[in-house]
Parts: sequence; C-alpha cells; structure tokens
Amino acid sequence: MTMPYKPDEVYRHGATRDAEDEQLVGAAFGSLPVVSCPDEVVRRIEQAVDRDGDAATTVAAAAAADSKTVRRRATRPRQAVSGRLGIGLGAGLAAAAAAWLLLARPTAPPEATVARTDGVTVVAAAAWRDGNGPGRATREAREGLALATRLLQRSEQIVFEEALAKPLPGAVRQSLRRTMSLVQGGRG
Amino acid sequence: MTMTRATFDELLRTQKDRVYSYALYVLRNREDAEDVVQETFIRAWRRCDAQENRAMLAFLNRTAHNLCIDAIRRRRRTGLRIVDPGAVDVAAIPGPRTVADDPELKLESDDRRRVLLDALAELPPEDRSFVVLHYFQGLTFREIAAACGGQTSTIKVRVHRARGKLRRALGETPSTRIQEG
Repeated sequence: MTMPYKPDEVYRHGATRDAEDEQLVGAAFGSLPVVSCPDEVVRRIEQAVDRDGDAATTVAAAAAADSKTVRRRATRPRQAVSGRLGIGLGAGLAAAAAAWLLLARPTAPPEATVARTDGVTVVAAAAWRDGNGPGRATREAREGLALATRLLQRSEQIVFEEALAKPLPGAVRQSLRRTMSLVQGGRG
Repeated sequence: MTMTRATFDELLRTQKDRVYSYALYVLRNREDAEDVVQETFIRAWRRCDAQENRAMLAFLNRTAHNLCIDAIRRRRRTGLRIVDPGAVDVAAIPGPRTVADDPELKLESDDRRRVLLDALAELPPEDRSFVVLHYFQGLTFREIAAACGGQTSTIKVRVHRARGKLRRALGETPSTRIQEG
C-alpha cells in the first residue's frame, strides 16, 4: 500500500497549518512593544475630568436650589364647535352688512356737499333722493320745512302754554322764529 | 451612575498604555492615537456606568475601536492616506525610558516588526482592529464580538483571513505544501 505523502508531513495538514500560522503571527505581534501613553495626553484627560467634576458640582447645586415645584399653567379649554360656528357666522354677517352699506350708500347730492348743515340741506337731500333736480329739491324742502315749522310753532306753543298754563317765554318764541326764517331762505 | 474618580484614576493608570498602543498600531499615526486615547477615557468617565472591571475594559475596547474606525473613515473622506509607508509614525513614537523598550530602536532593529506593521496597515480598518485586539491585546473572539459588535463566527473568519495575509507578508514559506515523495 502506497501512501500519498510521507507520514511525517501529515501533521502539516489542516489545523496544524493554522496552528503554525497562529504561532508565527502571534509571535510577531508579541514582539511589538507596549507603547507608553504620553504624559501630555494623560494630563489633558485629567484636566477634562476635573472640569467635568466642577461642572457637575455646580449643576447639582443649582438644581438643588431650583428644585421647587413649578406649577404648569392650565391650558385653555378647547372651544366648542358651536361656539366657533357662532363666531364665524357673526363675522360673516358683519362682513355682509359692511358690503351692503358700501354698495347701497346713496350718492351724495350736490347741495349736501356745501357747507349747509341746517335742516334745509337735510330735507333737500331727501328731495334729491326722490328724483328731483337740485333747485326743485331745495325749494320743496324749504316749503315743507316752513310749513312744518309753522305747524310746530303753533302746536308747540299751544302745547307749552297748556302745559305751563302761561304764555311761552320770549326766548322760546324767538328761537322758533329764527328757525323759521332760516328755513324760509334766510341766512344759509 | 458613573464611576468614582478613584476608579477612573485606577483605570486610566492601568489601561492608558494598552489603549494607546492599540490605537497607535491600528492608526499608525501618533496624533490620531493620542486623540483616540483622550476621547476614549473622557467618554468612559462621562458615560461608563459599569461597575465590574471586565465591563469597564469592554467599554474601553468598544470606544477605542469605534473611534479608530471613525478616524480612518474621516481620513478617507478628506483624501488623506492613512499610512504613509515612507514615514512610519510608529518609528517616531516616544518610547519608554529604557533603550531596550524603545519601540523606535526596536522597529529599526527588527525588520519583521516593520513588515508586520506594513502588512497590518494594508488590512481593512475593521480587520486591522480585530487582529490587534486579538493578537496584541489578547482578547478572545467572543470578547471582540461583545466589544465591537457582530457575531463571533464572523470575527473569527475575518481574523483568520487577515492572519493569512499577515503570514504571507511576513515572508515565511507556506507550510501547506505537501512534498510528495
């Protein structure tokens, strides 16, 4: 029987080969020295640790001094859906009213722009809105106001005299006359 | 609860050289290794809540491993070569006090070590870290898996492959050849 290899080389197979490599590489690494860490590095490490210690002490003291209970502010209750709808509806209505007022506002009559703030201007403006021209509106307004003033003067005089059981004071009558003269085209 | 200052001081005193050597051999850059050591121990002080020595060492290994990988990737992004074969930082590291332990003198006097370090630098970053943790730090595959994440079998395979590359780089004739008689 012929053996394929010499008996003394059997051990070189498999695990034995690995063991040799392991031994060789291990020996090579074993020859590497352990290198001393520089003192400068050690000093930097110790300084960093010292700083951490000081910082930790400061933080702990600050935390102990500030350890009172902090009350959290209550969160605002969430608004109901109906409430939010009401607010929205109100805002919508307000916007619609503002738009309507802007669009429906009558055009200012020419005489309303002049500096006459008495009743004539007001009534003329009303006549203007009825479709009359400026002159007719003003005339109608003056006539209407004169009639009204006379009626008022008379009726008020009667009412006051009946109520007071005596004639109206001169100041009141004077005021009424002034108003009537203004209405009838006096001082504008 | 983090460790006490006395525990940290003891950890720093006993492990600083080991972590620094690991970072130096993985990164082959003294400044980067110093940064890794510094950041590793500062993180241990701030974050490590382990009480047992084994857990503390695992934290150190995991942190140093992650920081080394980050440093390598950061250098890749910036386009810098991780290792310059013409300027080996390991040869310029400040050695221990005695001449016999001076790594610079040792590296210059021992070509095998230089070849090993050069071959190590050619490995992928994670494999490099695994190999150093296993062969230099003496961690088992299970401990490496626990520290760096991943499955033990995966790490074992990667270390095995890396070992083959190192073995070839060391210039030894593979012993797998069967001399037929």
